[in-house]
Amino acid sequence: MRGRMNAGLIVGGTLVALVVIAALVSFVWTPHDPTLVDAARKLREPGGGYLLGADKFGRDTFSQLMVGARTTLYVGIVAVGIAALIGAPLGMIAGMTPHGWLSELVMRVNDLVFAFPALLLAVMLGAVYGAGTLTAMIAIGVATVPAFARVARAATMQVMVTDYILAARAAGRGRMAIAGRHVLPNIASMLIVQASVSFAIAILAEAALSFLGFGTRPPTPSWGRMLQESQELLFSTPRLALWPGLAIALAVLGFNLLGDGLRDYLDPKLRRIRERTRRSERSGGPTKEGLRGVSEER
Amino acid sequence: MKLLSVEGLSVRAGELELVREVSFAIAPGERVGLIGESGSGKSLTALSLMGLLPEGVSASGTAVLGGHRLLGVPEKRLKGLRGRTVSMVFQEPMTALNPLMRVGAQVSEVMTLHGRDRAAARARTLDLLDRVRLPHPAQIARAYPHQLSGGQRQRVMLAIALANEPDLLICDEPTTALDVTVQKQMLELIAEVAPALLFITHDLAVVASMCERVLVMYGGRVVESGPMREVFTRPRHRYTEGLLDASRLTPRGTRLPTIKGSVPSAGAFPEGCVFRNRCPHAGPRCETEPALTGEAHGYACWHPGD
Repeated sequence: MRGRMNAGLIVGGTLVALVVIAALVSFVWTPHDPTLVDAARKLREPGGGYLLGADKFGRDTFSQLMVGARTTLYVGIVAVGIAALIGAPLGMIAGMTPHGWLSELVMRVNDLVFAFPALLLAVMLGAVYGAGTLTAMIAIGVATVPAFARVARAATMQVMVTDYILAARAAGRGRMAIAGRHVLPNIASMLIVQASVSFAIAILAEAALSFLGFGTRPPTPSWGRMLQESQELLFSTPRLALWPGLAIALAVLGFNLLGDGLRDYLDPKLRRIRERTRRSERSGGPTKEGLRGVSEER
Repeated sequence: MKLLSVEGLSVRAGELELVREVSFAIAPGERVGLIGESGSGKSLTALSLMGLLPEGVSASGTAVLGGHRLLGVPEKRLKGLRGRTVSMVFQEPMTALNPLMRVGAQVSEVMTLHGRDRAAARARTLDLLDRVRLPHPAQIARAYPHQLSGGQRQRVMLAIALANEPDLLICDEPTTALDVTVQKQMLELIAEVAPALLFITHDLAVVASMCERVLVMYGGRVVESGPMREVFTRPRHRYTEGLLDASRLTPRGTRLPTIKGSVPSAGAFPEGCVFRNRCPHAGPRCETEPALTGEAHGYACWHPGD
C-alpha cells in the first residue's frame, strides 16, 4: 500500500541525512577542536585545512558547524519527543471520548498553551530557571504539545467512526486495547509527519533562542549563537553569518520537505487522487476512471 | 427455554423514540429474520443488544441472553459477553477489518482476549478460516485485509464472530455489499455454522431462504411476527402485505405494485398506527395504536388481511 518515492522525500531526506551524518561524525572527528581559541588564527580566511575559515576567536567554522548540528538534533529530538509523548496520548484520549468532560478539559488547556508562542515561553522559563539547552528544549517541547494533541485528536476521531473499531468493540475489546492496537497504528503516519514538521520548528526556535542568548550556552557550539557572534562582523566578514545561516535554513527546509514527502508517501489515497488529477489535467478534463477512483476512495 | 428474550425494548435519542416497545424471543438454535425498510429500526435493535449504540442514543427495557442481562448493565460486564456469548457480523466487509493488522492476528486476538492462550488461539485460527471455506488458511492468515476480496473479508469477519463459539450470532445485512454469486455461498455458510441467528436484512428472498421465524419492523415497531412460511403466505398486517406484493414478480406490461408514499423520517411517523398514512385500509380506528395480537403469528393491525 506504500507509495513511491517523491521529490520532497528524496531532497528532504538527503538534507536531513547530511545533518545527521555531520552530527555523528563530529563525535569521532572534526578538522579542528571547535572550541579552541587561538588568537593567531583570528578571522583566518578559508583554505589550508580551514575549509570555511575561522571566526573572531580563531575557532574553525566548519568544525563548529559539525558540532552545532549535534546541538540542533539533540534539541529537536528531545523537544519533539516531549511534545509527542504528552500530546499524542492526550489527543487520543480527547478523540476517543469526543463529548466527555475530560476531552473538553484537555482541548481547552491545549488552547491555552497554544496561545503562548514557543519563544515567549522559552524566554519566560529561561528567566525563571536560568537559560540553557535543557530549558529551551522543555519550553519548545511544551509549546509544541498542542499541535500534536490536535493532530492526534482529529486522526483518532476519524479512526473511531470506522467499522473496524465497531467490530473490535463487538468482539469485546476494551478501550485500552482499541487505543493501542487499532487507533495508534492507524494514526501513526499522521504523527510521524507532524513530528517531522515540529522538528523544523524546534530547530528554528533553538537557533532563535541561542541568538537571543536564552539557548545553548557557550562554549557548546550552536548555529544560533554562531549567527549572533558574527553579528558585529556582518559587513566586514559576511561569511561568518552566511554558513550557520545556510545550515539553519537547509536543515529547516530538509525537515519540512521530509514531512511533506512522508505525508504523500504514507497516504496512498492522497497520492492516487493527485496522480489522477494530474493525469486528467494532461488529458484535458476529468477522465471517467479518475472520477470513479476518487469516489471509491472517499 | 429461550436463549434470548427481549421485552419492551425502546431506543431513544433525546426526545426522539427510534425503536418502541419491541419484544421477541429466540430459542437455542433458532434462526430469526428481522426485516423492514431502511430507517425501520432494525440495526438499532441489534446494536442495542450488543450495547454498541452510538453516543447520545440510549435503550430501555429488558433483554436477557442465556441468563445475562444486556440492557442497563455496566460496560465491563458487556465486554465479557461481546465476542464470546454474542457476536455480530457487519454489513461492510471492506472497512470492518483493521487495515494494518494481519488477518490471522485479528482472528486470534478475539480468542486471546477472552482468555485462550496464544498457541491454542493460533492453531484454532487456521481451523476457523478453514471452517468458513477460505482456501489456503495459512496463507490467508498471513495476508493483510487489502489483499483479500470482499467475500473473503466477510468470511474472515464470520470466522472472528464464531471464534469463541457464541450462543447467538447477529448478522446485520451481511451480504448486502457482496456480489450475488458470493452472496449465495455466504448465506449457505452462515446457515450452516450459525448457532442461534438474528438475521437483519431488507431482502425478503434472503429471509425466506435463511430463517424459520420472521419479525417485520416498521417505524421502530414490530408490526408482525410469526413463522416464516405463514407470514409470507398469509400476511396479516397491511404493511407486510404491501412488502410482499412489491417484491412479487408481475406479468410483463402491468404496473409494479408499490406501497404508496415513502418512509417518514424518524419522529415524523403518525400517532396511533405508524403505517396509517400509507395504508390503503386506514380508518378512524387506526388513530389509536393497535397492540401486537395473536399467539404464534402476531400482528399489530386493526383491519388485518385474511
